[in-house]
Amino acid sequence: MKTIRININGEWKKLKVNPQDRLIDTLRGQLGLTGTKEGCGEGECGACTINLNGKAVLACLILSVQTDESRILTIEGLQKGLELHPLQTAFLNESAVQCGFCTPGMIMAAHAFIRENPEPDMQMVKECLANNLCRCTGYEKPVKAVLAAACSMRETNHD
Amino acid sequence: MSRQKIHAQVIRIGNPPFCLKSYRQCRGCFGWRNMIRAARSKAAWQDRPIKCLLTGLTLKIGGIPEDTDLITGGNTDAIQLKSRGFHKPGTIEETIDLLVKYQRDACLIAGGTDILPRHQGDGNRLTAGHLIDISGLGLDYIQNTDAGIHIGAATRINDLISSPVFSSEPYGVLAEAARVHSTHTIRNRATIGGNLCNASPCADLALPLLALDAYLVILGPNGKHLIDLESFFQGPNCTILEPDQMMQEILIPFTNHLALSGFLKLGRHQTKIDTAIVNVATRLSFKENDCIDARIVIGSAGPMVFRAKKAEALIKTGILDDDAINLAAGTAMQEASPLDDIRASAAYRKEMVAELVKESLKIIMKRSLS
Repeated sequence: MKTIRININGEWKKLKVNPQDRLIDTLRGQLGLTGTKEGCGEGECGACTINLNGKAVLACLILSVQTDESRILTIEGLQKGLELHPLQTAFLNESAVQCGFCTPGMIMAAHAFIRENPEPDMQMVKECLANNLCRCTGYEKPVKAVLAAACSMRETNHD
Repeated sequence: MSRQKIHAQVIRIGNPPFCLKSYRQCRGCFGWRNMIRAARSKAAWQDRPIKCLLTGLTLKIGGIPEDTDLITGGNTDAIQLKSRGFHKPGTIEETIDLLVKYQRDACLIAGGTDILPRHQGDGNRLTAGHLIDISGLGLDYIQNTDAGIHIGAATRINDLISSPVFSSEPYGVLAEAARVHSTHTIRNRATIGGNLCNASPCADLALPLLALDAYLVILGPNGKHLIDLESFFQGPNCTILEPDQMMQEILIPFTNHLALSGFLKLGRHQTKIDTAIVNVATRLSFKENDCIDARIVIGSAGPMVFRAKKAEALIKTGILDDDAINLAAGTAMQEASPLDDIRASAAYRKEMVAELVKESLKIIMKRSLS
């Protein structure tokens, strides 16, 4: 067992983890943050996308011990109280959710992306979501939702 | 009709691969069964050790009868082995000490995007006894010196894309390949050293680096030495690195010649995440208007990434026109020894080698005229 200290959705926590635990196991099992989904478990589907130190990464391809002293943001950390994040609102408004399994991954991929590219075009958004598979095949609406969210975040200066 | 008998010498015992047991595809380019078949039929595959990524079984072809049960034989202990330790050394010396101590039981990890998927789906996530995380060694840098460009082994692939060094010629081909390497999300973790050390025959970044005549700085208990990238690759998923050695950095030698280069990658569905069916990097150096050097590097069409040297010679000595390009493309095709696998047939791959070489040389020709 190894002890790590991580900032999870704004709160520093000390955890004991097995060296072979992946971050997705720690998030879902130990921390009960089941918003992050595990799809393929081998880096193909993107359902487990989270933000690690501000960058979109796959929680199934990182060992928990490697995240010592880092900041992790999951889908649960986006909402402030009762107020939804503009990305969440945009996904709702555009009906960009079908079964919803891929949605947390898509939103977290888009979250890191908009921070780096506040004024994206459609091609850039498509590239950003290229690692997120949707088996309901609803790709058009998530792309629209990300564009709408980027637009509203610019207007409201949302971070 | 008698089949040619193949003799293999077991270098390291492994297990029946998961990919054969459960019909999952090998994450290397070709799959284990195909490697054995290849070794039986192609001379080019026989003089190289072949290593299975899933099991660690490493063979050197050239000895035992073909009916020897190599695929299903082996000891099962290796597969049951779970990670016993995670080490995060703070210095390179500590890392080498750990490698010397644990030898083949040690596995270096940086991004983890190749190591972790390898162990999914079978309940045994990690076969290495001791994982050594090298992300704390400060090996993520891109430095421009008189000798050339130094890239730390643990540099994330996305950092290559955003670096101004690779934004244009003469080194731009590296960023061009990095942009089509997997997806943005994977590239946030995946490192250039990992891509090379994995020694996949389709490794996107190996091609531009071979085209740029890159060297590697290798560290071991006996100190530091420099080797050229071409001799680093020994076979599919097999490198010249000893168990107690590690890669410190990649050195791209300084060049002030005018160079034009290109990278083309053919994927199955032309989506971002695809592994290449065939990938090709080309690079021509010019002095005034004469082509003084040519590199044609081909991936996914042989036991490892290789330079099509006969085709290079043709381009170097002649005038760059349509005829020369067609001849070079045909020659490059002859030099390729691809395999059938889930992504494409060998015959299709050969055709595509010719097409990609032709296309990328034509792009260079157009640019050289303008």
